[in-house]
Amino acid sequence: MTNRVVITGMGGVSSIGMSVPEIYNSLREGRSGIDQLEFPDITRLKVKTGGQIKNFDPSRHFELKQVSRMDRFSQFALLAAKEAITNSGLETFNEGWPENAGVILGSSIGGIETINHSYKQVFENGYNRLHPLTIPKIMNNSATSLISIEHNIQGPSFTVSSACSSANHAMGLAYETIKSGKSKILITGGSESFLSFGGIKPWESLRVLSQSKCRPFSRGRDGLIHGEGAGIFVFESLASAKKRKADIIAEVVGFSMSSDASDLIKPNNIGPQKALEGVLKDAMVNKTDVTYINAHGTGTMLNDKMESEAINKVFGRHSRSVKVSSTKAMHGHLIGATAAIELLACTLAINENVIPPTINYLGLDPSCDLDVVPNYSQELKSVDVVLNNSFAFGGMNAVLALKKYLN
Amino acid sequence: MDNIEEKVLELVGKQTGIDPKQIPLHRKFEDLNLDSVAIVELVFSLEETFDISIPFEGLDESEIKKRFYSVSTLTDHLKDLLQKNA
Repeated sequence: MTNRVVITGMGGVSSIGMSVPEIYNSLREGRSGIDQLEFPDITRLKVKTGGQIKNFDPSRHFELKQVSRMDRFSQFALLAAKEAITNSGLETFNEGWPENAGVILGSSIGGIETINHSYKQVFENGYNRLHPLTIPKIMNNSATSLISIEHNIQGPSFTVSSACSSANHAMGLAYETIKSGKSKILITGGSESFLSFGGIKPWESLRVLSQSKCRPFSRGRDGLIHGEGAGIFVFESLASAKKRKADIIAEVVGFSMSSDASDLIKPNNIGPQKALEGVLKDAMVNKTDVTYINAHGTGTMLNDKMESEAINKVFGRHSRSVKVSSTKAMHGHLIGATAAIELLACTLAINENVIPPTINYLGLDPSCDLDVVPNYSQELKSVDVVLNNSFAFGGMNAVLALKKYLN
Repeated sequence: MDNIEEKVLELVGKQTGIDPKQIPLHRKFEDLNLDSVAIVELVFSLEETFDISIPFEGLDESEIKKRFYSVSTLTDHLKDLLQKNA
């Protein structure tokens, strides 16, 4: 017997908003958070734009002594988790919360801001030792651990790292764990911040960064733009949510994973096709039930072409009707956290029938022949099944499916 | 108040968020909300400020408690070290 899984809480911090209502507003309005980056040594970078959370002052959110002990990505995760848990109403619930709940997050690189700062201290500034908590700040699981500590969560907790698919893999595993009955409540999502000199510099050599704007699926697109932030959700068994009369945001109905088994950087379309076919099967829905796909849509020539091919192959004629947008043009590519911020776009679609746009779209590229919801959001009469795509470096593919919750 | 004590107060003030003028010299660090990690951070800052090594790792627990107890004990310890290094 399997359990139904629902979302009962959401939190988000990003360059397009520091809460879910703010992020929703930006997504509806097609507002971009991409701007000039501000951090040390920026002049040494070729690409100087990104989705940075500007003027972020951690001392406004955390005790003074805590601030120096957490990397930026952990700070984002804690803020988003606080919003999600507060809004879920769990704080007044005492059956299995928090002792039996768990935290499963995605982050591809963890504390790279701390790594960047520490290497600068040691190699450039001649320091012979570092902050005593450098390792706990850097480790990928530090955001997960800090959330568990803050909220006294004592159940299964770990971090998943699979590049751009990290958050989708984390959320998918959370879904599977609750579905199987192993857990009833899991805090899940992702957090990431590559935005430092050391974080961005290696990306230049990959030649995947846009020199202008991120234009997913558009003619003239030239690459991705980084963003930072966190998206955190409360996934819960339907039985637990009903027992405590929680507001149900959406139902998680399917998850699928696949690997390209071909190249560390270049995607093929076979792996993504398998993941898309797999999620339809797992969710027990027809392709014609899918109203919206939040695409991986990085804005690179290769990904967008490959993803369009995969969607066309799997959805056939229905690919003409399904809405496919990439919100990365607004918030940037959050790498390990991107699927989590993008799940907020999915819940917006489900709850308000509003499909967020692919902004910066200049016009059709014949190799990306999809309805990409160009530049302006669209309101539909109804939204049924929504998919959240992640197709990562190394050929790690993960797709999550949501539906409106019906009793 | 001498320069060294003033500097220690300034750095303790930064760690705790308390105005240095309000920090009692003999109040134990624990009561100022300085835990073991904060004390290590404080030691690092003092080493950089005075360009001196303040041994910490490998010290006896009782020695740590004695020397890194309050602004007053830490200042005295620092003065000893500076004199030895002079």
